[in-house]
Amino acid sequence: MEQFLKHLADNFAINPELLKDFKILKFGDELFIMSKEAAIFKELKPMQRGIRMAKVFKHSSKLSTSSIQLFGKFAKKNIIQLDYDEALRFAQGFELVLRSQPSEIVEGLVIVKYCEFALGIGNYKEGKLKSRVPRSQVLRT
Amino acid sequence: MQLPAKFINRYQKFIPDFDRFLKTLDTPLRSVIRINTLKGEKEEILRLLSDFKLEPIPWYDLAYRVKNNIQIGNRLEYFLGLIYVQEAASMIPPLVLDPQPGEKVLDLTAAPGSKTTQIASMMKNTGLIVANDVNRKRIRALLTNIERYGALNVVVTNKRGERIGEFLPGYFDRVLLDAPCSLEGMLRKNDHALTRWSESNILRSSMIQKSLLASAFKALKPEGILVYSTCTFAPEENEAVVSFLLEQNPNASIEPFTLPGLITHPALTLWQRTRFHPDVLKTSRIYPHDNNTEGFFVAKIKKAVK
Ligand SMILES: C[S@@+](CC[C@H](N)C(=O)[O-])C[C@H]1O[C@@H](n2cnc3c(N)ncnc32)[C@H](O)[C@@H]1O
Repeated sequence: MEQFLKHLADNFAINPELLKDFKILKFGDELFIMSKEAAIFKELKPMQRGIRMAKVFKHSSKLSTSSIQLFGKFAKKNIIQLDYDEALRFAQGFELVLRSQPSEIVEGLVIVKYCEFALGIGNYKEGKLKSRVPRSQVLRT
Repeated sequence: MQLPAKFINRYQKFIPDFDRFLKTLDTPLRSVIRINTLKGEKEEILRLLSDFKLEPIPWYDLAYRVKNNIQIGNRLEYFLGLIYVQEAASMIPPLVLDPQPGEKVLDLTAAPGSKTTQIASMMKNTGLIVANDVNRKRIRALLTNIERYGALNVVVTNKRGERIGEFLPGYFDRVLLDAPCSLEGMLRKNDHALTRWSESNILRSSMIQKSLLASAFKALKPEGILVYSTCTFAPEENEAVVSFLLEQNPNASIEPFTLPGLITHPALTLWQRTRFHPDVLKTSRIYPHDNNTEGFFVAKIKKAVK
């Protein structure tokens, strides 16, 4: 957990303090984020508590679109800002060729935003932005 | 719309202004959206919707009827979970329930989660909502909606609602039972609702509703509030169910409610020679032609300490 919060802080400058009102729990290979009261409710064999935060692998983790849409607005670095048409195409799962090269971005995973709202995670390399919105969540065209 | 003669016979006896009621059933409903305040400020979200022609819903300051033709499901704002499509009358039961931040709330028949997500907003993502449904397929839709909405205080369970009262007696501050019903009130949205319409189906629903309501009441804390709602006009599924609960539980009483701009009618006291518990009169019928919505029935029930 510590490691995961550090990952958020290192890569996107998301301050872990902002998540302190919630609890992150691991079920299988996934992390879920939920209210404190939801975390202690154990009756009735819950199917899910709160929302998916990330999938964790041995040396890395993959943030979920749902959690980025909720917490991505707190990110302070590695952010790519899109206009409406670009944002729409990103949400539809397409790869975009960005018109201008964003400065101060490390190539790799970035948080993609439209206005103040985070759309999800993208993979940025050499002027191209690949949408990492899972197929099950992409916007219909 | 071709309504069965039995349907007409039943309802023209008590639905006021019956011709206008029938005419309204033939007028399609426009979509209504609810602003998701868990994701942003209302004004900030409304700014993104500048091409929507919006008409405010008087009883909920976060809801708007969309007056122009927009494919809402294809919109970025929908993908972002900033708006949720929900019929205006369906927003009433959570408003009557009035859940508070930090409380424990049970949504006994929750899928696909329109009311669960509204309750999550009202509680500002704090406390606990147990969102239960018996149907696994519908739970899938519930989970998708919770994820897109960003509701963090929801625990999803898959139990028969009839059992929850005995598993968790006196546990919840508030309980919503938005019961499975014969769907008559949904005719404007979906006239398939009629293909399964029959009086025997109404009676079958009524039996299930009575045992779900008993379970819901059992799960409620003393001093707690329980809201019972259906989207049907059938007295067997409305007044009769609430009356049954009141007769079985002297510590149950009905509280009247009003919401700004919402026209309601008091419930029936008598139906087909059955006289209901007098308190039933304080429950509310909501008709499509009064508020330009679907039809609903809503009862606000309080549990006394003893
Ligand atoms: C009117 S719908 C609920 C709509 C939901 N409250 C919303 O606002 O999105 C009724 C639900 O009750 C569920 N249901 C039916 N029988 C049930 C039972 N015995 N226990 C629990 N849920 C049940 C159905 O699967 C259905 O999803």
